[in-house]
Amino acid sequence: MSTVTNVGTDFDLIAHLLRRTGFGATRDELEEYAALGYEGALDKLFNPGDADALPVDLIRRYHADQSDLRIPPSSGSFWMYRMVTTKAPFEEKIALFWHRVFATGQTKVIQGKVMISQIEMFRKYGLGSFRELLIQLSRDPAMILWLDNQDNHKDAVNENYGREILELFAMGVGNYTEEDVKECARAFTGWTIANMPYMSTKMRNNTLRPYGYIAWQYEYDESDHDDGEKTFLGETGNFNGEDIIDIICKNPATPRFIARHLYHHFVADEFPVPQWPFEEPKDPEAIQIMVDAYFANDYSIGAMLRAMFASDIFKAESTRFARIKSPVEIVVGTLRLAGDFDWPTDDVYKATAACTYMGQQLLGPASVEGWMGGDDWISTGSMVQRINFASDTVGDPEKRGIKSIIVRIAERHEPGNVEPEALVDDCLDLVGRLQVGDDTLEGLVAFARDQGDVDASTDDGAGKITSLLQLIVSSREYQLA
Amino acid sequence: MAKQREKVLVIVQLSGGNDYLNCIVPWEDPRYRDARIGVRITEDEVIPLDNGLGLNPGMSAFKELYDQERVAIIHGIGYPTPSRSHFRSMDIWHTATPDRVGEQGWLGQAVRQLDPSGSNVVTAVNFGNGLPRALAAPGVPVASVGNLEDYGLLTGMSGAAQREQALSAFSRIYTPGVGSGMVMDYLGKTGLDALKGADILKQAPKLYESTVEYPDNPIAQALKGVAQVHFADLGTRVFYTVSGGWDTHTNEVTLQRGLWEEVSTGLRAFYQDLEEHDLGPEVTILVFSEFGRRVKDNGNGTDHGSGGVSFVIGDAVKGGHYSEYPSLDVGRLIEGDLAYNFDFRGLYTDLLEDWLGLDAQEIVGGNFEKISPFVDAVA
Amino acid sequence: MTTGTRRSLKYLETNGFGAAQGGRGYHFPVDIAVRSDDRIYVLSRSGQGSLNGTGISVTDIEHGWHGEFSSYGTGDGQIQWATAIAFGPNDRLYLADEKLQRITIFDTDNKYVSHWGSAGSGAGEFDGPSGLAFDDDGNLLIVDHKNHRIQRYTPDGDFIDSFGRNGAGDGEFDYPWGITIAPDGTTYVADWRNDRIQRFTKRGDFIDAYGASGDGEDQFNRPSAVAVDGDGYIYVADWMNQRVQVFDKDWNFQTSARGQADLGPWAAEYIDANADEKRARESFNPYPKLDVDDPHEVSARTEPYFWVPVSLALYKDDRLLVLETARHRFQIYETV
Repeated sequence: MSTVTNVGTDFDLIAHLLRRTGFGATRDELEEYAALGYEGALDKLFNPGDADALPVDLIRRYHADQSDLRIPPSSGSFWMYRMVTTKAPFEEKIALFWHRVFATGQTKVIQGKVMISQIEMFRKYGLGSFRELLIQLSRDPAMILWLDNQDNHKDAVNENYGREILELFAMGVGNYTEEDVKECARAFTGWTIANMPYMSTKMRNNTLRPYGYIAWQYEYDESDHDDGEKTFLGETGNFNGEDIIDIICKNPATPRFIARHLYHHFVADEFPVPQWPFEEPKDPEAIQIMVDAYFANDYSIGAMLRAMFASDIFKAESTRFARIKSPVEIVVGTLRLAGDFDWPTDDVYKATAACTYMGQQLLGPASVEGWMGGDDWISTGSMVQRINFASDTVGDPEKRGIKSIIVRIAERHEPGNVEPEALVDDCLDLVGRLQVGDDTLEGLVAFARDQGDVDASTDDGAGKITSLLQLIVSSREYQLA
Repeated sequence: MAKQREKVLVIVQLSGGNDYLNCIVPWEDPRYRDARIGVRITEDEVIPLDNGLGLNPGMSAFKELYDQERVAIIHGIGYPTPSRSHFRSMDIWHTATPDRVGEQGWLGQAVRQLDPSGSNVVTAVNFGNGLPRALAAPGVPVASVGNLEDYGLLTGMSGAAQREQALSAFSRIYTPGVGSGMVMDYLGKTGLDALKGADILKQAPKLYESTVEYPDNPIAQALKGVAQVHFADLGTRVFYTVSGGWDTHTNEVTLQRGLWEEVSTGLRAFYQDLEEHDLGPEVTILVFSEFGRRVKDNGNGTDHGSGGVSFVIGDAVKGGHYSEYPSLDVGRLIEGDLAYNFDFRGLYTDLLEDWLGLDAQEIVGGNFEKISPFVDAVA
Repeated sequence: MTTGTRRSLKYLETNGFGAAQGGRGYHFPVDIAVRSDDRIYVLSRSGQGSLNGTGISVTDIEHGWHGEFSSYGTGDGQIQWATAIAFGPNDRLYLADEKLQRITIFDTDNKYVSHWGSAGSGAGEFDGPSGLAFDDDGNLLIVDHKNHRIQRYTPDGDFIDSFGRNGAGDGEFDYPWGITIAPDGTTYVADWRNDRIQRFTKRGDFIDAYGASGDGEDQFNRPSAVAVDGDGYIYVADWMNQRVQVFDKDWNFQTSARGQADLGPWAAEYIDANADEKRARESFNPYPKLDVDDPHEVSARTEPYFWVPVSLALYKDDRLLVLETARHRFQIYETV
């Protein structure tokens, strides 16, 4: 791929960082972060301050259904607002990361409210100690019912959570035995929710009657906890869940597994998770950097990522545009570019539905293994949705973000017509320094030329710039992050 | 002379849980009257059928199809350990996998068998946005059409001329160049396939001529779209349509009647259209819902239950009753629900093997008892 | 007015049921009004995915169900984003819609009569009508909330005058919501984003403002509605604090209620029809020990508590009806 503008390369690096830690960047954001330098930008990402997203009181006033967050369009849209309007998008990227790894689905747990509480927990603990995160996860009501731990009793063990915490959440297959699974499950007996019989019946019957859902509350039932001796990963004791998590966290398999997930989400597409036991990581060096940071920083996820982002592996040209954007990245990134959702609007539901149509229902992962990602996102049906959503979203020159692009183009040139090459160059720059191949570049320039003269200060020019932006966000390159 | 076409399957999904008891009504049964005190189809309203059963008053157009012996009623359909969750139960119907979270849709797998190389991008057409899980399978192309008239790429472009230019540019920028890499090649091919599918489908309404007036409701209009694509002979074998709003916890009698009127009149128009074009024999329709509803009403509606009813409709179908109406004896109910007595995977096997001529066992995960609703089964 | 004893709220019972598809019950109700013949009208705004739940339901204090009218749409008599209802002269019902920017009138048979309104910020135009009340001349006060003002109209929709502008000073508003006219003629406005209640004379002159941001006794978090009884006691729906606060006419704190709903007859009938839920509910503790303190979260987990108490109505001046958006019901309290 060729770089089509010759502005300083730092902008390209910062744009890369903001695509991975967020949803891309408007020109204003890019300049703000670039001014801090790369290290400074990282500091800001890890200490973002107030998210300053669209206020919850406004959302609830205009969308009554986002008070109780019962159904997927409501809970998904509540999160959508936050992702589109937050000043701290890295928090959301982290929440999405854990949502994918600890994939919990409203399809089973029914209650969007408890799903949103789980996402909030990911925001709060997602960059901290993995030990604390696993404890929070094990107490998370949505997770408890998702994996049936309310049915995991002292005298009748249900292994579902005990197995998945090892297989899917922390270690990966091949690093523990079936015996470890049983002992792990025993340690989590009694980790349940208040009013379990009624709540699990309501979940099964999937009904808001009579008075809406009652959100779940974690409860530790000591009388249902198996306090007997357990042997887990070679250690023996009267372990409870926290002790098991201690043993998991100090096992070297754990950071290797988490690092591979982090790599997949933030660096480059990995093999699908089920293949991991049989395939070496694509970049063992990257994994090692994160494993070292994990042990040197009290199991800190943030430290793993910070070390990764600081590495040459992450900054390399070959790492840029090496991932296929998830539907949420396409949708949120394009809405942020266009400057949408300054005020509550029913359009939020269209955005949430668009993610679903593209194959990523927020709070509704396809299975316990989350979404495969990579080229699994791409099918004829999803391409129609991706292209139409993106081109539709940027198709209004009156939107704040689009207007800002048009104004900047007008400012960059003398009054009068802008040459097609320069116009394409500007647009690629202003959508977040998108790099395109020569074929695409030629196609875009030809389109710009076919449209005729463009004077950015006129309505006609604004319309033509908008059309060009619509084609740019429909390109193959725009599918990549 | 009848035109020879390949057989097609049309799905009509009733989302929300069609109340079996007030759809195929055991109106002469005192146990029905006892259970349905507030939410009952009365003797004056019911459309008498046979076997002591009647139809919901919204189903008069459906009755005409039944009288033409085109409708197989499959009683008590369900699966072991019923889920009363909409999402879960629908997922079970879509993946034919009741015992764990299924990965692939039953129809997605069927489409893969019908067109293993994915050479026809419109082998399956879904009327609606997104992809029903039933059609989801890796590598299987499916066109999801909101509205045939304006289906396509870059639909948000203002101005026809600008859109034409943009589509031409799109085609150019998606054509993979030499050495652009696997990911770019794949994106290019998929994008161009999507464009091709849109180009093919948008021909259908232009070719369509009919004297049949479809009612102005979403399911009838979707069925009209099915007719348009089917008549255009694009090689589509599986059509998917959805009717929503069947979750009648309150206001059931009014709601369900209105919904059945929409579906019934839509189906009647569809059959009139098929007859007018002499293209009926190739079409079979499956009508299903994720579950039936509780036997006892809640005063103004009914709540999620199990044991429902499905319909198979078509010229090739032997009309009548299949399987048995589950018992209304309180002692025979399961947690207040009708007990299912026929596994839906058996019906899928009928449709896959004896209608589409496919290997069903892998798709439904085993051997299940069939009901044989067709006059002449495929060899 | 008695002195020495504080006004308190005594819980009586609950009316409601989640009816996402319409029918007996409500779906995300936002306003409640009592007609002169004691019929109780509940306005369901409903929400995404359940447009069938949109409409106006009619019930009574004995849990009678008298049907529903209006529906989602843009036609005559239809609703998009409904905000408020109020009864005017001759018991005609007035309905505000903040998306269609209009006021719709229904007659005593609940039939559509007419509507008026258009979007804008000029005299006689709306940007989000959201609270309705009739003064004792029979004129209609409309909270025009995104224009941060109160407008006055004749019952036929002719503009009379308006007062208020955006700000936090006396007589200024920040997205006001509910409005009520006390029996003594004083106008009360829930100045929503300023977290206070303002009082005005009948002519619209500022009297006083009460409240500050917070969750203490003299504080509110986005109050959405006010009711005032014949003794001058003031009831405030403290929307994000998930409570109802009661004051005397001099703003002396009387009591605060968090809600204590139990199963009303419609709910009980539902539970009876679902044996598994009935059985499971036998061990149900409505007040579990919680590890959260945000009132919204507490209410989400505690079924008897108010969850999004959005509007209030007085019934025969001695009963307070507290309408809860997120629980599709209203709780009935005796004011003693």
